[in-house]
Formats: sequence, C-alpha cells, structure tokens
Amino acid sequence: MKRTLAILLGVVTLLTLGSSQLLAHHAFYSVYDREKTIKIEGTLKEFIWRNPHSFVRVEAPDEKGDVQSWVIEWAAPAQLTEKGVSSATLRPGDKIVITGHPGRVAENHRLQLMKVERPSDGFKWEGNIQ
Amino acid sequence: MDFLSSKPRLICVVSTLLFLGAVGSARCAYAQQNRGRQAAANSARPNGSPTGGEVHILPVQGNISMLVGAGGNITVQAGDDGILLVDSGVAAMSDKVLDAIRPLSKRPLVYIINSDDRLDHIGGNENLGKEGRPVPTDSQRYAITDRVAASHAYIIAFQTVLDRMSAPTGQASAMPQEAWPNDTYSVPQKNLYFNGEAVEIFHQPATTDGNSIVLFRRSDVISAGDIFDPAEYPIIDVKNGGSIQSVLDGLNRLKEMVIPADHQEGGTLIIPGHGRLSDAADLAVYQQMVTIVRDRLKDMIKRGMTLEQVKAAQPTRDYDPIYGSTTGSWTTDMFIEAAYKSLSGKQQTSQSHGAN
Repeated sequence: MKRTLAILLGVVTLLTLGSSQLLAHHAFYSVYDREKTIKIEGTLKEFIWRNPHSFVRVEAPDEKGDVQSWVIEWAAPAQLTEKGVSSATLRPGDKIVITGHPGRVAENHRLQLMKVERPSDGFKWEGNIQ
Repeated sequence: MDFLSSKPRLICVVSTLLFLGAVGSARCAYAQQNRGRQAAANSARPNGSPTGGEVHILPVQGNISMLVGAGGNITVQAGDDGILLVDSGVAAMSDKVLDAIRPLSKRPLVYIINSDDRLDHIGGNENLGKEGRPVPTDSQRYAITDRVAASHAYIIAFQTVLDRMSAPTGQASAMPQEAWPNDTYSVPQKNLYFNGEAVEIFHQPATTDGNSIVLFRRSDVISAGDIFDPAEYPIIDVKNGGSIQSVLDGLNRLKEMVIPADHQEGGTLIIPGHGRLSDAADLAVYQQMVTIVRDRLKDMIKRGMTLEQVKAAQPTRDYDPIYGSTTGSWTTDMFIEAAYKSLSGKQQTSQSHGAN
C-alpha cells in the first residue's frame, strides 16, 4: 500500500512539474493577441540572439504615426539556424518590415514575429515560433 | 613646578603630546602616500594606450577589483556566478587581461558593460567576449555553425554605443560584429543581480550621449567611466552628443551617489575611466575644477570672445599642471575647443530614452 502511494505521489509530482514547464514555454496566448495581425516598417536597433527566444528591437511608427520602440519576439536560435538565419543575418540600421501578433497591452508595443522582410536584398523569413 | 611635579598631571601631558605626535605623523604619512599615488597615476598615465606593457589588479573592496594598464581602467567584479567587467581595455592587452582575471573566479566571464564607445574601453570586447559563458541550448547544431552563439559574454551598453559600432547589412562597421554590444538598453536604468549583489547601470550622458555609470551596491563601489577622469581634462566628444555641461551633470550625480566615511575619507570608492582609485574628496576636487572652467568659458562666450581669443586667454592655466597636456591624444587645446563648442551650442545632439 505504501509503495503504491509513493509511486502515485511520484507520478503526480512529475506531471505537475512537466505541465508547469509546458505552460512557461507556451505562454504566447497570454502575452500576444493571436486573433490580430499587424505590420510595422522601421529601422532595426538590435537583434538579440538568445535562448529560449531571440528578440529584435525596431523603431517604427505606430498607427498614429508616432515613432515607437517595438520589442519583437522571434524564434529560438536553433530553429532560426535550421532556416539559415544566423546572429549576423540582421544588423542594426537595417530597414525591415515585420508582420506579427500584437501584444495584449498595446502601449507596450510588443509583437510576436510571424514574418520579417528586408526589401533592400529580398531577405525573408516566415514561420511559426516553436 | 607644582604642575609638573604632580605625577598624574605629568602623565596626562606626556600622553597628550604622544597622541598629538602620533596624529601628526599619521597625517604626514597619509599625505605622502597620497602624493605617491598621484605620482604613480601620473607616471602610468595611459592617454588611450597601455603603459609598460603589463596589467595590474588592485583589490578595491567587496567583490570589486580595479585592473589598470590595459587602456582605460577596467572594473572587475568576481564571485561564484562568474566575472563581470566594466569596459574591456584595448584589444592588444586582452590576453594579459584574461590572465589577470581568470584566478579571480572558477566561473566564466559573463558580462562586459561598456561605459562608453571609446576604443580604450571597448577594444577588448571581441577577444574577451569569446571567452564568455556558453549559451545554454538543447541543440548543438547552431553551436557549430555560429561561433557567436556558441560562447560569448553578454556585452551591455547604452543603445547609442551599438549604433556607433555597427552598420546596416552590406556596409562596413566600425568594429567587428563580435565586439558589438548584444544587450543594449535605452531606458534611464538597467539592473542586474550578480555575484550576490545588485548592480545598477545608469545612463548618464556626459562625454558622449551614451555614457553609463555602474554602481555595485553591496561592495559600495562606483565605476564612473570617462565621466570622472582625474588623470586629465574630460574627453568630450561633441560630435557624439558630449558637452562640458553634461560632464558636470554626471559629476554632480556621482557626488549624490558617493557617501564618504569618517573625515570625508573612504566610504564609497570610485573607479574612474583613467587614473587612480578615488573617493568623495577626489571627486569633489575634480567637480570643482570642471565647474570653475565651465563658468569661465560661459563668461567669455557671453562677452563675445571667439575660440581663438578664449584659447589665448588660457582659461585653464591654473589647472594645467595637474590635468593639462600639450601632447598626446587629448590636449588642453582640444579640451577647451570641445568645451567652448558645447557651451556655444554648436554640434549638440540629444538622446532621449525610449522603451527597452
């Protein structure tokens, strides 16, 4: 009886820990509004190549025309590398166009990246962030 | 005679004389030590290049050490989490910097904070950054294909430092990509917690529009960068948003942050961009000099004097023996010209804070 209880307790603990990690990694829905899509066009200020997700920071106008600093979440380095993107692919000063899901708090100017394009040389990446 | 013949009184007088003698000799020794430190700082004056070809580590207090001889001063914070540097010196000294800091921690170099974008502060970014912490990953694929991601320190700086070091795709950048800051900030303050202490990074426009002050709260040490440079007049980069007024604002801010111990000695210690380890009193002397020179120049500009007339009037003459130079990368003439231009409103830019 004691042994069964111990096994049961172990299984419950593992399931609890596993589900919390799953929630932590897939919290996009709580941060971004996946029902909406917006497009911004501006100047890349920084490309942060980092786990678990990379980020880009872009200065671009909002819908009122005021220039804002947008923080945009991209994919993990491993996922980007599979598609030929490296930490040197985007550089500060690049003019880029980004399409993505906006953050649920509009004044934070956040986006989850769906597509990034650089018209100067035709570079394009499109995909779902894992 | 009655006075001296009284034994207790005699003992009291002798004790007092001995005490006064001890205090006097201690003060004399301190003054000599101070002069010695100043002389050492002057003889090892970097002027943007290493001197003597060797680096030296000076333990400061708490977790903090000061590394000299690699260009600008490097602040080293070391502990169980790893190593944090404020500035990276010149590239040519990187191997010696690494040899000097490795014994301080078994953990890797995790952070480099650039206090501004001068070469003697950022020159070692590329070489030292490669020795940084490994990037955690569940895949080795990109570690093989991308050296930057495989192992690199975080390089923190204000946004404009990255702007000046980098360039858009297809254009040549001032520095190689491995040297660029990879964790910039564009808000007034960025915080870290590392090696058991809070580390506060403050944006303080001064010699450029991108200076940072770093405060190690537990160790009670401030890394001031080029805002405070007791070895010479402030190196003002007017084209990149620096001004004598901004330098003064930065020095005034430092004065508010620094808390001296008894008799205005010790307490919060300041690692300057160049020159010797300093405290509140040293900072006050430098801040007064900059204030007085600023006021003299403002008055001359108000009276309509041209730059040539100002130079001829020698507004810094009384300070030149301490801070001035007629040779090297930063002369007194260059300082007066930069300060004059910044006060007369020429070539000024401003940097506002956006979101991080």
